[in-house]
Amino acid sequence: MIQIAHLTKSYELDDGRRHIVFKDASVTIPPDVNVAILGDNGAGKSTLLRLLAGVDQPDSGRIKTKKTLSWPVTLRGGFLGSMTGRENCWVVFSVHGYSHKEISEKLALVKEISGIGDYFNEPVKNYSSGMRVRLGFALCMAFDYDYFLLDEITSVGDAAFRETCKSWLLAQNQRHNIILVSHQMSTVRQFCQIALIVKDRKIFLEEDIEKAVAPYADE
Amino acid sequence: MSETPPVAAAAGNMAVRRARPRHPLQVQWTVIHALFVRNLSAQFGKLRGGLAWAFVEPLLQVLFFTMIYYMRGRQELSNIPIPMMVITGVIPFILFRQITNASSKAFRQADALFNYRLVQPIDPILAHAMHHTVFFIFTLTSFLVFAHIIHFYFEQVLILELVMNISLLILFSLGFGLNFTVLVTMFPEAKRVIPFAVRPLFFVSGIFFTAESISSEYRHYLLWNPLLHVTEITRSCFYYSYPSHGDLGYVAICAAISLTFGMTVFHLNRRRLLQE
Repeated sequence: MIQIAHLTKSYELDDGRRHIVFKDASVTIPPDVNVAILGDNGAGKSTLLRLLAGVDQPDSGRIKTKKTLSWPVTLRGGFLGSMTGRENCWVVFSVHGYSHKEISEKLALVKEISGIGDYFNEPVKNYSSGMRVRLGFALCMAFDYDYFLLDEITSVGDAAFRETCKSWLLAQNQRHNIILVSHQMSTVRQFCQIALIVKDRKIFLEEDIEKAVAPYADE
Repeated sequence: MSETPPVAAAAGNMAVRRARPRHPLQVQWTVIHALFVRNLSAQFGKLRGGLAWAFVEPLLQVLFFTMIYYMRGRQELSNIPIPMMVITGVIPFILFRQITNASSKAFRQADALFNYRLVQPIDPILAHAMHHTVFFIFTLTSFLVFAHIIHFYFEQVLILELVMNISLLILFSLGFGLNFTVLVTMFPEAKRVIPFAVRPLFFVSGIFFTAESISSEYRHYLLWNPLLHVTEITRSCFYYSYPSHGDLGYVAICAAISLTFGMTVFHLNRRRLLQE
C-alpha cells in the first residue's frame, strides 16, 4: 500500500512564474496490484513517478509506504553516455553498496537479460533508444524492489522486449508490482489492474481499468 | 534447450537480497567511493594524456621559473632552493584550481546519476575533490622524492602541519567549488568567466616568489590572500629556516567562511540544481 497525502508540487519556470503540478492531491494505492498512471501530456505523470521514487521532493505533503520503490526507468535512463553499459551498471550497483563479487554476478545477469550482446561493452551514447531501454530495464530488474516504476519505456521496446517484460512479471509470480506510465492502452490493459488518473492538479484512483483507459483509448 | 525464456530462468536464480538499513553517512560514503573509482578508472583508461598532464604541468612550471631565476644568478630565495620553492607553490595551487574550476563540470557530468535517489547533488563534487587530492599527494611526493634524488634536499617534514594546511586548502577550495557550481547552473556564461577570475591568483599566491622577498611596504596587501599563506606554510613544513609569513589560523578562518557560504548557497539551491 502506498499512501499519498496532501501532495503539493510546483516548479519554478525560467520566466520566474511557478507551475503548479499537484495541489493538495491525496490518494491511496491498494497493495498487490499493477498500477497505470494515465493523463494528458504535461499533466504530471512523470513528476508523480519521480516523487514516488524519491528523486524529487514535494513542496508539502507526504508519500507513506513500507514498500521499496525503484528509481524511475525512463527512455533517457540514468546512464552516462561516455561510459559503456557495463561501466554504467557497475556504478549503479556500486552506489547501492554491492560487493565486488555480487557486482560481477549481477553484471553477467544484466547482460543476459538485456539481450544487447556485445553492445554491453560499448559506450551508451552509441546505443539506439531501444537498447538503452533494454539495458535500463534489465539493470533495474537486478534489484529486488517491491514496485518498479516504468516511464513510457514500452513505447520504444519491440515485441521481443515486451515479451521479456511480460515473462519477467509472470516469473516473479506477483512478488513485484509495477507502476507504469504509458500512452499505449493495449500495454496498460495487458499489465495493469488499476489506474491513477492525473488531472487538474489532482490524482484520482480508478479501480476499473477498462473504465480508466476509455477516455484515452483513441490515442 | 528448453523453451523457458532466459529472463524467467534468471529471475529464479536471482538471490533475493533486501538492502539492510544503512546509516546515511555510510550510504553517502559508498556513493562517493563509487564515483571516485569511476573517475579514477576513466582517467587511467581513456585519458592517459590527462594523467601525464598532472605531472607535466607542474614540471614545466618548475623548469620555467628555475631557469629564469638561474639566469639571473639566483639559486635560492629566502633560504629555499628555487625548484623547491616552485614545487611547494605550484602543486597546492593546482589542487585549488582543479577543485574551484572543475567542480561544476564534475557535477554536470554526473547528472544522469541523480536518477538514483541515493546519489545526492554534493556527492560528485566531493568525489571530484577526493580525486584531485589523491593526485596532489602523488605529484607532491614524487616531485619531492625526485628533487631529493638530484640533491635538492629538504630539511624536515612537518607532516601534521602539512596535512592540516592542505586540508584547510581543500575546504577553502570546496567552498568556492560549491558556489561556482550554483553560479554556472544559474548563469551558464559563468563557465567561461570563472577560469579568468581564478587565473590572476597564480601571480599573487607566492608560487614563484616568497613573501619575505616582497618589500614589507606591500607585503601586507598580498597577505590578504589566504593562498599565499598556504604556500608559505607548505614551505615552512619542509625548511625550518624558511622565514614564513603564513598564519594557519587565518587560513582556517578563510576556509570556514568559504565553506559555510558555499554549503549554504548550495543547500538553498539544491532543487534548482536538480531541475537542470
